[in-house]
Amino acid sequence: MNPIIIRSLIAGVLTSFLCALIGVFVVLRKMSFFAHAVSHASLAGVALAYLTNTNPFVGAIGVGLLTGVGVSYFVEKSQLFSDTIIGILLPFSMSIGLILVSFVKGYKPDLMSYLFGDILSTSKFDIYLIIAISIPVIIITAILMKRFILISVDIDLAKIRGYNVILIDYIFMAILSLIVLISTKIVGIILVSALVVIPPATALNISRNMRETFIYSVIFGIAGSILGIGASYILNLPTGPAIIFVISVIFLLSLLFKKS
Amino acid sequence: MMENTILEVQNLNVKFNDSFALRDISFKVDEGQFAVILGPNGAGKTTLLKAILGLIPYEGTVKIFQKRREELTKEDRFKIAYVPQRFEGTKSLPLTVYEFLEISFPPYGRNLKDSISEFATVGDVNRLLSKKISSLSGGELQRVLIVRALLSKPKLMLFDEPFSGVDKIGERAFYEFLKYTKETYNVTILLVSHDVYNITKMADVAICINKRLVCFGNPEDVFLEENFAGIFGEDVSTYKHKICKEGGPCEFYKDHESNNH
Repeated sequence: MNPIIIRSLIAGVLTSFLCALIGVFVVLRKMSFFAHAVSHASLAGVALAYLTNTNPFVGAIGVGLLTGVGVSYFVEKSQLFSDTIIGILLPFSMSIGLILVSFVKGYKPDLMSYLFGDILSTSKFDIYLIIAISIPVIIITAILMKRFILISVDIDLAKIRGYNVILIDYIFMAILSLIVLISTKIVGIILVSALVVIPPATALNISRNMRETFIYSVIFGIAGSILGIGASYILNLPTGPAIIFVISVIFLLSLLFKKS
Repeated sequence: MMENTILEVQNLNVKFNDSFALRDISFKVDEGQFAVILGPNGAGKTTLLKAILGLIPYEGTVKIFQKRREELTKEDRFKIAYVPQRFEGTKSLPLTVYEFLEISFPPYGRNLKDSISEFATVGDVNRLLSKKISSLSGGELQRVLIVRALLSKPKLMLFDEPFSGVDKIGERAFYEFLKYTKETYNVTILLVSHDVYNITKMADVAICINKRLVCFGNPEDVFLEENFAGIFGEDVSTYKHKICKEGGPCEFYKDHESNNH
């Protein structure tokens, strides 16, 4: 098989798995706007990387992660709701990104691919970076899974138990940011939050318990990315939109099976 | 015999935006006692529970199991159980009751499965275990929260207005259940309530607050004129006449809304 397709499939399956898993918390905690903000902030990182002649993917991850942790910091320090903080930080980071982009001289080939994703341009380095980030993310998520759930469900009990709720929350935000950022490679900055929101929302429509929610979410996420990548390869469609189209259709179908 | 103090509150102050929600509260509760916190709306009852649990910042000292908060071990913390008045955020939750009980406890220690089935029987929630937590009625959710509290085999249980959303029959059954729990598991109970009549029959200690400590001690003392005056401030006799019906439940206030600080 074509090595480009193999690389895209590895990147697609890995990131959609992580997005679908962490996405359950994103939906339960009403944080889809957060995922949106982190991905958009990464544009500033891409532009910065162009200006300093470094790897744009690394730049995107760096700046995006900083924004994700920054949102947590400002929410904790101010008395404002997180969607207000995000409503400030998202346009702020976007404006920095767009200003920086205007300084990039000459041809800007990759910018479009960052906005809309270009899985077929995934290099070996990108794959290694995605894997290198995924491994610690999976390990930490496995260790803290129960605490993430408890904090999402009953933060008071977590505090009474003496858990460092603030630290666990920072870790969660950092993990979520990293997952969203590596996934921008696949579907792009603009569409990535769909990868985090749609599979869990689909799962919630049909699952009878929490366990099923996680399992279905991961199945829908992975199935959507494989079908989307396949369709884009065969029909010569843009990959990111193809994946999002597939998972959106699965979501609409799930509504038919929704238990009242 | 030396009494074993389970909870000791000394000179507790809680401020919200520079005004005192609670001022100079001191009391203690000994092992095996049933203590009730009484007071009108906005008196700071929920605030007091939250300060004791360390959920909000406060000045002063709270000692649980004769230890300051920072001295409490992980095991100690598991011996403190809290049943909140409301439990928000269950609406879209895909959790079943069983999963809800399961995630509240880390996997170490005793066999969680056995504990869940033991206490589900005690709290009569067996038939609810596979139901989604979002589909429960107020009374059912209350029972599940109590079962969850019991699961860690607590030494100290704190209840915040356990009767909001529970009818009179449920209330009576709940008292029986509390009595059983207290005697069987030797737990110390601290309960926020407005139901003076039933509480005075059951409680060993009454703690009346209205931002400050108004009375502390024998529950019968709550009915003393000067304590009533301290709690309500004015028009005591009218109030008392109005709300304490012959032989019936004697309530501090009629609407069941309580403060939610």
